[in-house]
This record gives sequence, C-alpha cells and structure tokens, in this order.
Amino acid sequence: MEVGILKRADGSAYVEIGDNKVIAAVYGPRELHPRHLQRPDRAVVNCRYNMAPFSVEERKRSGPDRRSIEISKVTRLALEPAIFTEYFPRTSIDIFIEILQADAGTRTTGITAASLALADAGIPMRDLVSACAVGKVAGRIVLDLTKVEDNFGEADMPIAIMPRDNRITLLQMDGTMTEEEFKEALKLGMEGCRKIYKEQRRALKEKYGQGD
Amino acid sequence: MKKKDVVSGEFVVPGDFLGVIEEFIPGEGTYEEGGEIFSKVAGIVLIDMQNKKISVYPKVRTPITISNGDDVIGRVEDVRNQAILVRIDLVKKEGREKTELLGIPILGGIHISQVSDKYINDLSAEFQPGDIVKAKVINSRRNPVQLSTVGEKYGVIKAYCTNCRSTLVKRGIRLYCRNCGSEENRKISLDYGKGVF
Repeated sequence: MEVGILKRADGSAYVEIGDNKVIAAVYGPRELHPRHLQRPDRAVVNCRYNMAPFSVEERKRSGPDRRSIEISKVTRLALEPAIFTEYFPRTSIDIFIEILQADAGTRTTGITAASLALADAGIPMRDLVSACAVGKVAGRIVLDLTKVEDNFGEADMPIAIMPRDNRITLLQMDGTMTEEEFKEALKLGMEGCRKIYKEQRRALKEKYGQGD
Repeated sequence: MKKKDVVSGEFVVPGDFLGVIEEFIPGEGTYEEGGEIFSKVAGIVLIDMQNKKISVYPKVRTPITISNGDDVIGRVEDVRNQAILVRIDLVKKEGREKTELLGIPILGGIHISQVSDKYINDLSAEFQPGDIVKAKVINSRRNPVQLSTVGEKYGVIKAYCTNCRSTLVKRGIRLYCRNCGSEENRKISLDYGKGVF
C-alpha cells in the first residue's frame, strides 16, 4: 500500500493485495455542477469504480456496465458513513477507483484504497474503512478468495468495516452458507479487515509519520 | 480496540482514540462521540495541558476553509440597498503569506455598516457588480460569510467602467476611465490596480 501517488489529485492511494492492483483518487470537496444536485446541508459523495480492459484474463469492454455501476454504489455507501459530509455543504467529494489488475475481491481492495485516498486528501473522517472478502470453498471458510476460488467456490462475501467500533458498512453475499458458516465467515472477515487496517495505518505513517 | 494514552507528537490516523471529554476539550482535527475523543485527520497530536485541550495538527494537505481574521478576494455579484454579495475566490489565512485558491464556492456579504468608517448613503457609489474586492472575514459562521472593508487596506482592487466595461485607473481618490472618459467613485483599497494581494 502506498499513499499520495498522484500529483494532481487531492488524495490518492495505490493498493496491491495479492494479484489485485488498484489505484484510487479523491478530488474535492469541490463545487458541484449541475447546481440542483448540490445539497445545502452536506457534501455529495460521488464514486466511480472502473475496471481497465486489461485487468482481467479476457479483454473487458471498457466503460461502465451493470456490475461496475452496482459496485460504485456499494462503495459509496461503504465510505459515506465515515466522512463528515456536513462540513462541506454545496460541494461534492469525488472518488475514482481504477482496477488495473483483478483477481477477485476488487471491490474490497477498491474500498481500502479509496479510504486511504480520502485520508490523504485531508477530508475529516470518523474512521478509516477497511474491507476484505471471505468465502466458502470446497466446504471450508476461507479468507480473501482468488479468482479460481471465487469461480468454483460455494460462496463469496465481501465485508467492509470501520475498525474502531467494528461497524459494518458493506456486507454482500453471493452463493449459499448455513447460519453457522455465516457467523464463522463474518468473524474471519472482521479479522481480515483488521489486518488490512494495520496495513493502512502503516502506509499513512510511512508517508506522513516522519519528521517533527 | 485497546485504548491507550496518547502523547504529544504522536502520529494518529482518522478514528484513533485520543481521550475522554472529562480530561480534554476536543480541539481542531478531533471529534467527540459518546464521551470519547477521536482524531478525524491523519496528523500529529498536540496536547495543551494549560487549557486541557487536545487537537490534531494535520500532516496531510487539508481542504481550505475560511475563518475569522482571514483576508479574502472576491468578485461583487450583487449590490443591494443594505449589503453587497461577494463570491469569494482567494483566501489568505491570518498570519500566513501564501494565498490559496478556494475550490468551494463561498458567498460573502458586506453590510453597509461594514464598508467603511464613514457614513455611506448609497452603496452603489462604493461598489458595482463585477468589481474585485479585498475584504476581511469578521464572521465565518454566518451564511453568507460576513465580511468587512473597513480600513484603507481593504476595498475595491480592480473595477470596471459602468459604461464601457474597460478597466478603471486610479486618479486621486476617484477612478477614471481612459476609454470613455467617465469618472467613478468607489471604496478603493490601497492596493488598487497593483495586482497584488
């Protein structure tokens, strides 16, 4: 993980988890146009998740599709509770997430990167947001699935939390799990998120912790 | 999460526990939730034992905000009977040399009583829409932000002719248009026409 990699963005981060490579950039708070979308009491958070055509094995057609539109929305909802949007009325905070290389779990990697980029932009936040995925493969609960595990496993469940008080901001599931399995997966996922959180802290400290 | 005491100079990230409200007053860069104080930016902890205040000095570049005492530059949007409206574009924080561009649109208002220390009968003799004004923030918590141009430092720093819109030049205490020859009155700043902040 690395923070502040883009010069022109207000905040940015690069995150590599396994074979997932993600860049996130944050712009704002800045003036929002068209004006009728502005909220008089708070900032609007915009989020764009995008996969590069070369990020997957078979070339992906560029541009937003049903999947990336949904992921953009859930990413926004995962990050919004952490941001003090009420400090910046009539503005927008724009988050861009670019997937350079994908190996399952890109939405969680994207959330992790975006949260770092927000901190880098100096936007006041309640907490960082850490995310990771759990799943069930061949009857066992495993953390952070790879592409093969995701495709041939029984379930995949991305989780995002605010580690300070373990508040869950994202919880999705694809596939089937029993109630016990779900509980176990959730516990494992939270643990994974806390590991990610440690790395996020380290990345921020590396960039800004030095000197006076 | 384990809660340990922080010391001055420690590096914290958003969400880090700093203390409880019984021991500190939450200062800048912090927020309070359920009686506990947390950091909301990545930066260095500052503990002021005298005032029992804990704050976080941001190490990251933070979004620019305006506070009381700052100097601002903006364009006059509207001139009314009692006040004028200014759209603020540039901020010079109090005690700092650098001017910063505001990314966020902020409206400021100058009330007729805050224009100058003299009595003003007619605001349109002091400002015209389109003028560039330098002013001081007197209340940043109101909306629009309350500004003042009292003092010879503050006032119009660039004005346009109301007849032909060409730039006016200073001639004595009034402004003169080289293009059409008309003369106009303004609340002029010392920096008029110098192009400096």
